Amino acid sequence: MTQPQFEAPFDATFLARLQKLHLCSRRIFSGRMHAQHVSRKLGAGMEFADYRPYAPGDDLRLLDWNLYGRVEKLYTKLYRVEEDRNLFFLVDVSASMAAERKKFDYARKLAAAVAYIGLYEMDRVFLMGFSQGITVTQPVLRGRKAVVEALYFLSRLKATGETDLVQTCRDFTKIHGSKEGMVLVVSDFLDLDGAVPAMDALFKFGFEVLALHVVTPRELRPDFLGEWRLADPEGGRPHAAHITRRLIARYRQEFTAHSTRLRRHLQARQGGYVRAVTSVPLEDMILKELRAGHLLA
Amino acid sequence: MRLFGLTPTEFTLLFSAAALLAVIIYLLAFRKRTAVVAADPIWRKIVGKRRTPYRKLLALLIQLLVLFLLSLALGDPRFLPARAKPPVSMALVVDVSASMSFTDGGGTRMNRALEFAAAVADAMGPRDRMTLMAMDDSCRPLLPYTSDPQEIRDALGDLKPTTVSEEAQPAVDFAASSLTGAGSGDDAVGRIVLVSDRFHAVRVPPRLELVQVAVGESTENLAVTAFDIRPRGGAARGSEVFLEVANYGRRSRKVRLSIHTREALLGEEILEVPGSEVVTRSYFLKPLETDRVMATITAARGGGPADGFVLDDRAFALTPERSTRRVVLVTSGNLYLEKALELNPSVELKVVAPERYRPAVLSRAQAVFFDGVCQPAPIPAVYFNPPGGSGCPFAYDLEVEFPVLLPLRGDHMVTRGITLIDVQVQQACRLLPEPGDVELLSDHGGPLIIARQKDSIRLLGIGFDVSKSDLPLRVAFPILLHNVLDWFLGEADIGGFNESGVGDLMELPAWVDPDEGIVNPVGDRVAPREVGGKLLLRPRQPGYYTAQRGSRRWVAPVNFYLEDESMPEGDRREAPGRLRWRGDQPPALVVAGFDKAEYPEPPLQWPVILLAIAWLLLFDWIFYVFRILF
Repeated sequence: MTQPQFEAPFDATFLARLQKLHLCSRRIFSGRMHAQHVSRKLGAGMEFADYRPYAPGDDLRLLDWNLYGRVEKLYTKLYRVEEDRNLFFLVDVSASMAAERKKFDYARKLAAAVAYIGLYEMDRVFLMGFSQGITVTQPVLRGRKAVVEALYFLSRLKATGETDLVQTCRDFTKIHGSKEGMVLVVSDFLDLDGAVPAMDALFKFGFEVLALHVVTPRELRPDFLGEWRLADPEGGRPHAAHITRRLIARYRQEFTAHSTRLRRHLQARQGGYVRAVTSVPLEDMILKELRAGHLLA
Repeated sequence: MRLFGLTPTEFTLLFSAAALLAVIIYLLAFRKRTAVVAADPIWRKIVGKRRTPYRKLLALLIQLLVLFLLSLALGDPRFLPARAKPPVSMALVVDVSASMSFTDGGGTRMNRALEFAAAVADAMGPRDRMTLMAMDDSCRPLLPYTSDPQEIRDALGDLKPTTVSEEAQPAVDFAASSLTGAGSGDDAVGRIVLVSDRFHAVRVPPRLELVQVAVGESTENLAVTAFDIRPRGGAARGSEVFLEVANYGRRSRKVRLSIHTREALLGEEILEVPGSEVVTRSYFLKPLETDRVMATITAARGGGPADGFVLDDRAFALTPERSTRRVVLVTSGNLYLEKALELNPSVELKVVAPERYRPAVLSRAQAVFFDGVCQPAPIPAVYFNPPGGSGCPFAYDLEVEFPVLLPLRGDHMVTRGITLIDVQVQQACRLLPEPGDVELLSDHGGPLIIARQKDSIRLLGIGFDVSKSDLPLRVAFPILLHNVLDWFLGEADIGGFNESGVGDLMELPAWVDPDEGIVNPVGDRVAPREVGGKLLLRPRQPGYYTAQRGSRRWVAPVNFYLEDESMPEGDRREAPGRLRWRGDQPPALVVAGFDKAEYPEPPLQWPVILLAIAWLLLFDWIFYVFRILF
């Protein structure tokens, strides 16, 4: 399959607007290095977190003298430390992503945009491609200058193979299970039986999971009727089907049920879900849809 | 139900072609397009094992049904009443022979026959088919089988009576074979209707019906049935006319008989010819400047036609050129032979006794007859009962008594017009033939009469003594001698059939140019046929046929000596399958037992079929929508 052009996906104006965005996290993770995200670690940060009884050795600058005046007990003020954050991008590179030319391109641009935001916020960005497991990985990227490497990595991805989300998450947790952070899964989630268990596996390891469900208008509303031979881009024997409007209605119902099931499952576990329809311009998707889904702020 | 717009073959071909097209389109449409769908797992989940081929098959069946009905509608189907009579395929054979030009009543028999044929055509039913054939001495189809009366009427307008006789059985056989391939369906009745002025004894195959219809009412006709001229014998000049007038009617009739040339009347006589009798006359004619003499009968008063059939009222003849044939008879005394030769007015006979015979005797002779003597001769010679010996051209094998004669070979000039099969011969000797000899008469053991041509000299050997047979007592004897002289002198080679009747085969002189042809009595040129090295012509007009090339000139009279055609009535006895028509409506038997009053026009069915097609198309559309939706 020919690879779409993936050179210079964003213009300067768009990048400037991306820089103003902030990747929201519903949870707080502990990081290693100073960054713009609050950490679970309490220390010399800017954001007040809590009090604790004074213990010998505490920094006397952190004693809350006002409180001492009221209750005549010494309390030390605790602040959250602003640290960096792990952003794991799992980009679906299975063959189904390339069934339509625009779909894979759109997914990679979406991942690139969010990665750009993370890198701008000095997060550690892990880029991985997956199909039947994690097939390609990029060493951790950090800092704004790593954007070029991120784009280069994404542009070299090739869509092939079948989708196996469970195996992918198994591979992921083997490698990064000991870490904390946010996992952004950019996929069409056409592993019907594996999508929810795979997300559960990530939740089990304490990751915050954000699902970017990339779909095309044709997947949402098929426009072909009559006798067709339906071919799975991920392989398998084509099968004949007489496509009727009634069947299409059933398809849409099934597709919606799958999406809804995934969304509800993620939201129930403080995860995030956004459906990225490729017909929506990427800027609108980033600046409106992701913000509306409270993934970006 | 029966198709009126298409034959079963045409309907089958039409529907097959349309059905084939529909099936091809169906098969092409059955080749599914391929769509690559990323959401194939969802599709597989909802499609499962659903298969819908029966829906398309049902659609194909509907389309085929529509095509079938459409083809049916094009075929103009009609539902026939259950009691409908079977259709008839009819071969209407119309006699156009000479007798159809008989005038009776207000018109000719031909006109009556055409009226009848037209009435039959008008009475045809929608399922009946008819062809038209003209019958004289051959049978000619005039148009293919049709149900269109106007087409038949148009073809009838071209029919004219000819001047030859009819041959009914071959015509009926031809019509029967035509009906075999008419293809009007299994229930059709094959019927031959023979329209003539008389009934014919003909047979048809058992599966066919034959109806004979006779038109015409006249019962009177007189004809010149014989007319010949010969030069007067001896020293007398002029010629002698012999003629015969026959009355084929029942009543005695008076007619005016005229002997005339083209320019002048030579003589006339009022003849009273009793009914069914023949009157003969002979007249002497003075020498004439022309060689063409005609005999005509007309009404005794007024000079009009003698009867309603004028073709046989005139006969044609040529005055023969007087020629003297010098013949030597070498005999010891045979009056049978001598007198028979003397009877021929053109023979100048010289009788020589055998002991006085010298070759010099033959110096001025054109032919010699040897009777019991055998000498070599430098001129054509006949040897009666040749004794053999050296110098004798004929040798004999052995003598037989009362031989049983085999039929005479009839295609030789010598045996023309005679038969010798019952001649009694007391004693004969079988001649020894040589290569090239023609055996004219023989018994079971060998030839008795041999014709030979050697070094351009013609010889005839007769292996018996005429005085020891009854041959001299027969009419055939002088004819035989006459034929021999004709053959010897080469006069029989040309115009051997100079006096011919219409329809007879006439041999033309060899010098006639076949491409130029000869001129018939009405002035048209007709081309003879070359058969076996001879130029033959079958004349179809009474009168004089002429040919000319350089200084050579040939004239042959052709007479209407067709007795069957001259008979005014013929066989008109009515019987089953035989009907006489006198101008009333066509009998039901003739017109296929078809009565329009009993047989209402079947209603048109194609509008109903088109309505059914519309309903089917609507159903097909609904079914299509159903297929798309569900």
